[in-house]
Amino acid sequence: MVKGLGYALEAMMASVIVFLFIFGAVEVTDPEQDWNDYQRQVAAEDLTYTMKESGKLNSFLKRGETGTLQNTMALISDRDMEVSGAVSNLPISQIDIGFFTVPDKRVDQNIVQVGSGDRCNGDLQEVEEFSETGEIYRTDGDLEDDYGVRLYFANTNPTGVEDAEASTGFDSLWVDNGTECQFASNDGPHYLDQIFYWGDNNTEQASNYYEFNEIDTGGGESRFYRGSQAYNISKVLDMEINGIRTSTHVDMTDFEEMSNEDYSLLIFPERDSLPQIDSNYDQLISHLVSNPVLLLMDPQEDDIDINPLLDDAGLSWIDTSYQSSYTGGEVPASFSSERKSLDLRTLYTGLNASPSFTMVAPGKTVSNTTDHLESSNMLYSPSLSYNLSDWNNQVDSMSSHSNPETSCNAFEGTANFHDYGDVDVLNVGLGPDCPSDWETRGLIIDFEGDGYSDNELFLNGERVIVENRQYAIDLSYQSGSDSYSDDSVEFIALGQDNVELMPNTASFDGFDGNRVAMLGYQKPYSLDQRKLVSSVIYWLVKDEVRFEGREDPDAVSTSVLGGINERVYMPYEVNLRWSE
Amino acid sequence: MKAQTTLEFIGSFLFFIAVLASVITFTLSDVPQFNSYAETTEKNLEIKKVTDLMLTSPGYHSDGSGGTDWENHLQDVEQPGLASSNLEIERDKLNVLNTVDPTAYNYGNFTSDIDTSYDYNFNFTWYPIVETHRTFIRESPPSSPGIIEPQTSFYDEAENRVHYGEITLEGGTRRFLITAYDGNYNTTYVTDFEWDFEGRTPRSTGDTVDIGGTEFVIQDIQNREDRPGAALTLKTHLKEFGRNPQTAESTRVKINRYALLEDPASSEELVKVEVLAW
Repeated sequence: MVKGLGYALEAMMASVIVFLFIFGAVEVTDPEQDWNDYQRQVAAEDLTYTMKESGKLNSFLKRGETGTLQNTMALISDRDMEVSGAVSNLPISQIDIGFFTVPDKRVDQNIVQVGSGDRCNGDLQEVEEFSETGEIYRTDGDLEDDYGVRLYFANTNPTGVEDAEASTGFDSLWVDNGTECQFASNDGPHYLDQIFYWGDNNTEQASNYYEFNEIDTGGGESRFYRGSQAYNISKVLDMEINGIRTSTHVDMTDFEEMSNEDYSLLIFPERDSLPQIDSNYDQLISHLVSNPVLLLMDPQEDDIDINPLLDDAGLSWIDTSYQSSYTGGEVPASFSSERKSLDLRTLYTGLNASPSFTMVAPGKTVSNTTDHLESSNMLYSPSLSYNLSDWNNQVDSMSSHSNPETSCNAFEGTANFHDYGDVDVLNVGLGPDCPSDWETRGLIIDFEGDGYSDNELFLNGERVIVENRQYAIDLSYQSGSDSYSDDSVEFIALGQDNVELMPNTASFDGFDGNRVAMLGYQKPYSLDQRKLVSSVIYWLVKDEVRFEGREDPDAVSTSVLGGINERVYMPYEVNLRWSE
Repeated sequence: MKAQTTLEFIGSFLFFIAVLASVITFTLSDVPQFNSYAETTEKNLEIKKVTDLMLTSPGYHSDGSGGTDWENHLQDVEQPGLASSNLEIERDKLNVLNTVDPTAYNYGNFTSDIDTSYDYNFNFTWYPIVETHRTFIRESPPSSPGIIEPQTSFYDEAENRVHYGEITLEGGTRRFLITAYDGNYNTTYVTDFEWDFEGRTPRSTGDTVDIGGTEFVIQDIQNREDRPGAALTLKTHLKEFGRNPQTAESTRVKINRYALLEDPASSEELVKVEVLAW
């Protein structure tokens, strides 16, 4: 009976297994759904392809009109397929630049209310037309004396001003540039956070562009940030790049303002920015973890070690002389064949800049991206080089010493490496016959001062890195005589020696960050140099532009590689995901 | 020797037979689904093949030494195809398609030249896009092009930023102004005389515009972010070709294909090709 029950259980188990197996194998997926996806995929691919071939895709992307692209595709697709996506490699994202203002370029000016006895009292119709309150203030400070230009302020309560909160009070200014109470349309109104020209043609040298930063009529003060450099760069950023209309905004800023604003990029001009970075380093890091920083300055050697940003970025100083008598200033600049350099050159060429241009070097700062100290050639000077031979090190007239390797002769001397100091070295003969020939000799370097027995044997031409510098060992060195002798050796410093013009890195000690780049500071930059600075801005930001459809995307996706071929071929990639 | 069968064996055998019968019964219920799936698959694969042939191949004729201009050799068509290049429809070839006309390339010719298992219906709809990204501030029109604005109170009530653009279709050029009300670009003015919009009446989506003798419907004005007012889409039905889909007795499969219309008298614009097979 028990045996029979066992048979029955076995039969039941076998049957269940067969049943499950068959149903697992024959399960049919929904054919309508499968083929619906297929039909949508075919339609999406056709639509993407024809949008590109018709030139519409290029037209829309050049103008940053991702919404127009979405709208067109959704409209023509009668399945109401909404499209989401991302555009890569085109500078079409909104770029908000914070241009740091060093303390000595922040200018406070006293202001007073225009009243009886004022030279323009009753003659300010242009300002009064805008003023909501009828109150008008004017500057009463030293810059007015310097420039011979007076500013008038009113509360106009404008629409469309970025700082809506600030615009609830006095928010607008007019520049009376020597015309005695007469205002042309370009004299104002200039609103808070806008840059205006404070000066007139008669005092052009002393005139500057300023950002209208703050006004306190109660306290009788107004504040302006000098921004001529930023203004000049922003004019280049306003240009089309390779026919592409970019969207950039430059805001003069400080660390207090940075805490309230999210900038796509921060620019720190002049070496005077470094102490400010030092004092607000945590705040800078919070920006740098996701957004880039551009430094426009000529640091000095000490800055590299003292400033936490330069130190954490691993930037280094090459403390050697130049091969020419260069003492600073502009040098011919060139791009290299590195991928990053080609990308930067594409942007630079897209701004219709001259292929032959000059740039100032940021001191002797180098990216130092290799395991030994050398300059990078992303942007470099083909005509100016570092004299790395300053670091060469010759050891002559070495003393006879016992040979720990063979029975041949050996000579001991002391090498003096740059920034490292003295190290004992032993030039040893090798081979059974001990010929007097540099090809059969080796070198032992006693870095630890613990003797030669346990140290590595180097042969002629092999390389050694000492204190972050790479040297080639030359055992054929002849110390001032025509004939070779066994008792000398030379260490030849190696590395890329062209002067680096844009040290940059995306690697930081202690945190993951975006990228830091540095260009030499010049005031004013030439037009081509401003185009270079603008190219670097686009290169640093190089954001992927994403756009979302009105419905969540589904399984259908398409991708298109295109290029805008105007002054230069600028490739892009568009990835689209389609809704059901 | 005596034949013996235990009760356990008989029980197990009967149980096994019962399970097997159940499996067969359940499996057979899926067979129609298999058939439907196979038919759907076949239709989808064939519709893709046929539309590929129509939209990516120029077609061929055998007259003389042969050639791809089969629209001029309708008696000797070997294979119809509309493409001058990949997904680019030649207007002249599209023009000779006619479902019933015996002097044109009709549906009978199509079914005999292309070996199909199913019936087909094609609908070609043209979607020209007017790029209206250029702008000016109302009442301050540009001098190049010299835009003359509409002189109506309705236009005067429009928002400040006015978009404009032009398009050439069917040999005719039309210029468009687009204006916004309450933040929505919903009105357009169309002119066929340079950039003079004086006296032109406002139009909105659903209205029609005659360009080169063809009536286009104003299908849409772009109003999404990035950026509103930058495009206006027109639409006109170009052609229907094939069997009437109302005659379909089996499930219809639909696929939309997209191509460009190559027409010497028009700018290169998109065509939607809706294809039904049954």
